[in-house]
Amino acid sequence: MIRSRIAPLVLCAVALLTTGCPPADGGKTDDGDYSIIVGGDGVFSPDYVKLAEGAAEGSYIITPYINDTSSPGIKAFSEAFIAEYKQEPDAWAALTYDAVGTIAVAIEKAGKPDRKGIRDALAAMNSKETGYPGVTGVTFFDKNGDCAKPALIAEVKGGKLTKSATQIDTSSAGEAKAGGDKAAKKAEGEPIVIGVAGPFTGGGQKYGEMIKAGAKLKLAELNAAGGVLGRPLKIVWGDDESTNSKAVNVANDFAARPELCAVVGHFNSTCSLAAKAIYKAAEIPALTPGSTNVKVCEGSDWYFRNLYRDDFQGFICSDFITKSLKKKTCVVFFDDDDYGTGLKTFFEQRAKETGLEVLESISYDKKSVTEFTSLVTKAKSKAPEVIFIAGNYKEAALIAKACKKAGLTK
Amino acid sequence: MLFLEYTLNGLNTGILYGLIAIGYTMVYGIIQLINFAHGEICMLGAMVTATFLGWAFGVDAIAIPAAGFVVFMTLAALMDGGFGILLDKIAYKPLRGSSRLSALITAIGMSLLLQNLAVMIWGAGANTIKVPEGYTSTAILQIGGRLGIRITFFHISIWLFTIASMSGLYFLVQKTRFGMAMRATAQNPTAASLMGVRLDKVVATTFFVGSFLGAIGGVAVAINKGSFDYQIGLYIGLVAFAAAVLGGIGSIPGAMLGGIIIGVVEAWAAGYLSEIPHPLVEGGISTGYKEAVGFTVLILIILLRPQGLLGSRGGDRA
Amino acid sequence: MTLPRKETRFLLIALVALLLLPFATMLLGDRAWLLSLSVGSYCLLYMINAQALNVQVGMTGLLNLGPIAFVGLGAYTGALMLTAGDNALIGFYAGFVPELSGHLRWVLFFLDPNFLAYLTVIPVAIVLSMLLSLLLGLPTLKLSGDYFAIVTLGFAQIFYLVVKNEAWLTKGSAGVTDVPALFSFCTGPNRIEFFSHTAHYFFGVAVLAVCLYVVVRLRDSYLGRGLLAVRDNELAAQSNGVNVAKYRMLSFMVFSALAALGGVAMLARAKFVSPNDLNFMESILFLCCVVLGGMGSVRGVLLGGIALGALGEVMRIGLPVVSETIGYEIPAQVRYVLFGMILILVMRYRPNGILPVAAEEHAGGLEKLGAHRDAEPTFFKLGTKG
Repeated sequence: MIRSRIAPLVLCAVALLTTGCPPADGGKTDDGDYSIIVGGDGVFSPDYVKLAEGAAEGSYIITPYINDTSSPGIKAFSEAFIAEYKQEPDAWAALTYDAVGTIAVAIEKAGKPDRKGIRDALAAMNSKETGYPGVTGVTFFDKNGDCAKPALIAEVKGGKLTKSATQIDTSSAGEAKAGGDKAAKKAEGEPIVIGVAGPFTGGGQKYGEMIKAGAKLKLAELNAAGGVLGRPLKIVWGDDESTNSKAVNVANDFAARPELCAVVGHFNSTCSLAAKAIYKAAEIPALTPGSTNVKVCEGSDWYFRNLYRDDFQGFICSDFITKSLKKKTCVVFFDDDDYGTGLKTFFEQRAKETGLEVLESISYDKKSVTEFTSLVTKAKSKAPEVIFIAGNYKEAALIAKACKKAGLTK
Repeated sequence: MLFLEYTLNGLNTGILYGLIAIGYTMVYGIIQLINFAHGEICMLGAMVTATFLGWAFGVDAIAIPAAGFVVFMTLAALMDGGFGILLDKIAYKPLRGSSRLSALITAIGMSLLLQNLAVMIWGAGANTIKVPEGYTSTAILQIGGRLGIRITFFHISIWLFTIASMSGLYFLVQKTRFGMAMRATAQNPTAASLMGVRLDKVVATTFFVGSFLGAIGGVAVAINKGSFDYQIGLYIGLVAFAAAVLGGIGSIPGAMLGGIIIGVVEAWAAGYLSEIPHPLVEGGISTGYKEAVGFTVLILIILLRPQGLLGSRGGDRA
Repeated sequence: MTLPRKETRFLLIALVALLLLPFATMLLGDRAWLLSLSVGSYCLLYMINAQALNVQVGMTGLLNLGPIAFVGLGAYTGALMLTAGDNALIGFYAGFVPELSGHLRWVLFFLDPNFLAYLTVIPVAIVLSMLLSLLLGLPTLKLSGDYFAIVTLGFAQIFYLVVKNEAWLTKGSAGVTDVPALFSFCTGPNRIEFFSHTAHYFFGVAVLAVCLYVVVRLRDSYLGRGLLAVRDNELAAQSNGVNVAKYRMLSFMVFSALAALGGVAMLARAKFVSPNDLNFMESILFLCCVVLGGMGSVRGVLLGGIALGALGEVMRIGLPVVSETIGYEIPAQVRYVLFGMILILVMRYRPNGILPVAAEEHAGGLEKLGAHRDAEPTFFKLGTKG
């Protein structure tokens, strides 16, 4: 019964789809130049290139880390990472890798796994000389706990994320260094425990996986090289599911572990903001490898980050467009979460100062957006020279794809 | 011109909402259940299609033959239809006769379960469905220059499929004995079963058809969006459910109409919201409201016509 | 009508147990104490909001798929008022309340400027939330059940997007940060001070007690009997002179008031609120608490709140321990897979919830109205098409 009724439907579908597709078109007429895509660091991921299926070619991305294997430090990290996880590390894996390393050094400096001591050791890393040289450059903190790290420009070339020939930030990144000396000592005794918090389930899960991978790799390296203070390091995972209430729960859980001496996390800025007060009250030093919101480290001596803030990034993105690309008009696509709006606000602020005309700011909600065609049509009607994306790589890939389909980019 | 383009964009998305909404409306029409797991069924359809295509043509295949695409998508949709029946048998059937809310919570449980199983099987990353070369990019019809309106083979095929499936459904429901049984069940299940209608069979068919169309809808949504992940079903499901209610829940043409209205209104919102000046702050109204506009229209229409556009008034619920 | 004794005893015992919990776990050491406070205060949010929803969904039979909008409104009203003008409200109270020190601060906690500010915020949040429910309810409550449900669902989605996009009012996506603590002496980095860790917990218990009192009193009043009548058989209730629209409105408003209270409790716990807190899943979880606990049953919903609130947390803390013991890392998704399965299984084997309404609990109400009481609405029965 069922089959006989469904069959015509199926036949219809088959008939209509098997008629074959016409060959690729040739007749494109030129309406001025093609636009160029520029993305914020949320876009930096090998998956951006993969998902955009060719539409990402030629886009520029501002990022704290590039998997540039010409540098020996990064090469070692990148090879170890690929050997372990069969994929290239992204910026978050690298930053977490460094964050765990930074905490390990701070523990060594403090001389014992003591929360207050580690905080002081982190706060003492206040210059390039005293900072932690990792694969993402030297991590060192200002009074606030913020980190001044240079922003690099990556370019998608030949389906790969490469370091662009045009770099805007001239202050040197500090030579990336290979992780600890590999003297095979044995770590003994009671493990030293640190917490790593991130979105291991829920919407930001892909980031969580990278964070976990980066942290695990560093953990394995540290423990193979004799651990910290001669004792093995141990990580407790805290899944904040990208939601505030769960971030509070995770922070409370961490605070309730007397043996836990430091936290690497959280990833999302809102989660960091939600957990901040608890770490402060419990006096646990926390180092976030992902939260760029301006307020994250404000007003707490216990919160640190090892990447730049939204305001710095927004300025760099805008300056890159005006100074390096020498373009005058742009359309901004931004994710209306804390990251996207933060970045967009500072980008627009800088654009106003430097005479870059923002023709339109188009926001989207990454949870509920079903397609980008109409939003890209909107962008298309403004014919911008540059399309700036302040969002995550997943949506950025969709925007790039839709732009290509609309004839906006090459 | 631009208006035409927005409208076309909206229509293209809207019919996909409509295809998915049909699954909601049919199930609701027969057993009065808001099948919250329907979005996940659509997601599974897309996932399975992507997997089949990956197996058959290699994960990195750039172009795949059109026939292969159709065959594997149909196969996946059929499987998904079977899965819909299974869902009903495992989760909902034991609850016939108990409170409707228990069934609703079961549906929510199923939705959570399926989403997270999907993560465990396919991972949390985004996935793409490989399509035949030129399927979504080659313009069959191009109005205006490079930046003009493009109608691609993808658009034509989803339109044809929608027309075909709507006619098929009309035929099934209105012209066959089985359709009569379905309509009878929707009106009064007890009386229908007394008249010899086998309820289980009617319910199973409903789930099969809804899930089959949902799977195709899921694949089309994934292609239209560009990529998809395990969460795609959640929001698409909500919108499609809203579309079903807007059109009058229980009415199949209503579901399609509702989908189209929401799709078009959302597209207009994307295009014109930012042109309206914000009453309190500088600048236009945020395009972030695109997703709210569909629901606003839904609420307004329900207020004016409580039974939805094409729905019939309930009997005993005065 | 007097309270059924068994239920009163149960609720009192539950409240006393919740009050004693931090003292009991204190004996088990720091970790147990802090964890029990964290998980406990988290569960309290579910208990409060589920109890609020119980009035509307459980007692009146109106499906609401967007309760989080009202909880969020409470939290946002509180956060914005408390932080407005550099904590002006607290400054205002600090101006004429004597400054206390030492243990006296605990004893005279109600004189604390922060606490007074919170107390000021609560009625405003409640009134705003009730106004909102009135605005939304007036045109929509005449809709039949499922249409009303989709309106609330849509409304919650719209509310979420408004909060996200109207940054001039709500501070946008990054949320309202640095909300002052419940007590001025809770802010310091003092791990040892008992009260700074427990204040929001006890506040939660107090809010729950208020909720329970309101819900039980409402249910046992003639108004409550009207609500139950509307739920059990709308037509019969109407033909017996019950004003269905009025009772629906009443339940919606009581719900919104209690939900706003829950929102303030949520704020007191997190001292932070952002649109991220308003997601659809929270609404669904509140609903799950109600249905899983037993619709309309005050005790059941209380248990449902504890169960669902604790389930996620216990699994979050427990699964890594299990992983470690068996030496295989269980993927984090397993938590949600199990969560889904538990929902399905409970509904399969206890379709009326863990602790369904006992027949005697509200018997009388309907008989007095002379209405014939239907069995629970069934899968097939409701909303048959004419």
